[in-house]
Amino acid sequence: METSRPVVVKRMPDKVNRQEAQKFFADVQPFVTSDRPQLVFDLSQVKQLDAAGVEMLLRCVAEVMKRDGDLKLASPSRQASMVLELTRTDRLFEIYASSTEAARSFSGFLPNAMQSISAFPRSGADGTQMAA
Amino acid sequence: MDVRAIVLIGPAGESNDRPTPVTDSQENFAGIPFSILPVLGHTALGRVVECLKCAGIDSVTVLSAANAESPFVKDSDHPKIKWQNVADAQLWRAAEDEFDHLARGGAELVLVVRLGAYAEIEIDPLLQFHLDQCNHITQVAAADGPLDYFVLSGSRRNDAAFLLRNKLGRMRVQARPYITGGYVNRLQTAADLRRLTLDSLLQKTSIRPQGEQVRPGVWLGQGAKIDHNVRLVAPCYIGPYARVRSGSLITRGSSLEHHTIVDCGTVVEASTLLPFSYLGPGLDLVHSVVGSNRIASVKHAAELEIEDKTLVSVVPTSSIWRTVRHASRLVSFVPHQIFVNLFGGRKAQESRPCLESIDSDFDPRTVARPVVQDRQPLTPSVVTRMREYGNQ
Repeated sequence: METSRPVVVKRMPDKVNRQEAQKFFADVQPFVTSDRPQLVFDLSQVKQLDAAGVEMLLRCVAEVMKRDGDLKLASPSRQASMVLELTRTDRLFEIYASSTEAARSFSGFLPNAMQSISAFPRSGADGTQMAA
Repeated sequence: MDVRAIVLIGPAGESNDRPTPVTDSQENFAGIPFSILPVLGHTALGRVVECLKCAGIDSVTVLSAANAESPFVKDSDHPKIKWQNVADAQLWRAAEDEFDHLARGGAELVLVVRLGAYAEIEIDPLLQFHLDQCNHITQVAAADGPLDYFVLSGSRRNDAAFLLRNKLGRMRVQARPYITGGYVNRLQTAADLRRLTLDSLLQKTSIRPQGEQVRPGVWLGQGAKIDHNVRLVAPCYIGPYARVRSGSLITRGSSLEHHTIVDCGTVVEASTLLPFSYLGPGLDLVHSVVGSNRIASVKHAAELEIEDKTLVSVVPTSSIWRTVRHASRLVSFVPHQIFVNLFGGRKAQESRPCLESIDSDFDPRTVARPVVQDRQPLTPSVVTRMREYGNQ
């Protein structure tokens, strides 16, 4: 499962509104449109994420998928996690606890590094989580 | 040392020692015991038999009270094990007879396992413990209670008969149990089956997905077919000869077992599709187990039979029938489209509302022709929101 292609890690700004999203997309466009891109977006600084930001993420993942690549998210802040969960876009991404682990995950499966954003329901109560 | 094993597939007996009361509705899905349902291509029964074989126990007898006609029972019948289908009421009597047969055949120790729970137990330390303690019968227990997993001395036929007549619920002589620290899953509900799948995907058990890891955390079985524009989010498992049609999303520890079909645009999230299941187009399956025309929701702890074949149905188990079905659909596609085009328009005309019967204030044209300029463009965010409210 070794890969020689580079993994690009990009930190998202603290406020991702329409204007910032456009600016961010313009920044990452060369990487997104490369051949089989491997991208990690670090969401640790994100304090505000609106629909335009989510739309930008969806646009990025659509472009990346077209080129047989993948986009993973790393260390989402509480606010970002909530918005992603609310819009049910979190299930479209592999989400990791840190950008290092997200980058490493392109070359091997790291079950313990996956972000535990999805509680496993059991008889109406929350049981164990998806990963430690 | 001559060690042999009897594996029982059937309902549990009553016992005060069990952690939760076991009823008929538990430990099975649509009447099929969880222990013979595949998890990432392996059944709990298969794994237990494999462990016994690895420990050098070659003589394994499986007594099954499950429906013998079920394809899952036929799949589980392995040539290296002695398989015997018995009636539900005769299970314990058959187990007693089999124990006598093994003891007379020279077995010094006999393992009796009821599935039941999936437990990863190291056999050698267990046998050593039994011998060291000089027990007649040693029961295995986990942190949350005892398991239906016993080691019996071949010479103690009376103890064995007492245990089996009491459906593994009581022992004639109480002995110190062997406490296992291995992975244990009670496999009593669909939630437990999902938990076992997820734990196996996250490599917490010794079950490894049957297939090739095509991407980190994504396993594909032999002959699995993934159409274009499908998103597979790790960890997930697509079993042998499964088909995922265009625009689908398989995510968050989902498992599609062999010969399953997921139709266009369907989202499968944290769910299991049992073998030979068909899931219709544009659905959103979350935290569920699907199979045999039934859906068990883990979230709502409920099981539901689905009669609408466009939502959930069963794929024929025979490859010939599958081919015939596909061919018939292909042949009937063009005439069906012609029919829809010819009569679809007239049907729309017939269903036009009768203007006289409606209040004068109501203008049906506003409903029939929505204002085009007010429509929101179909941006990804709008599509996401549409999906959220029911896959229109």
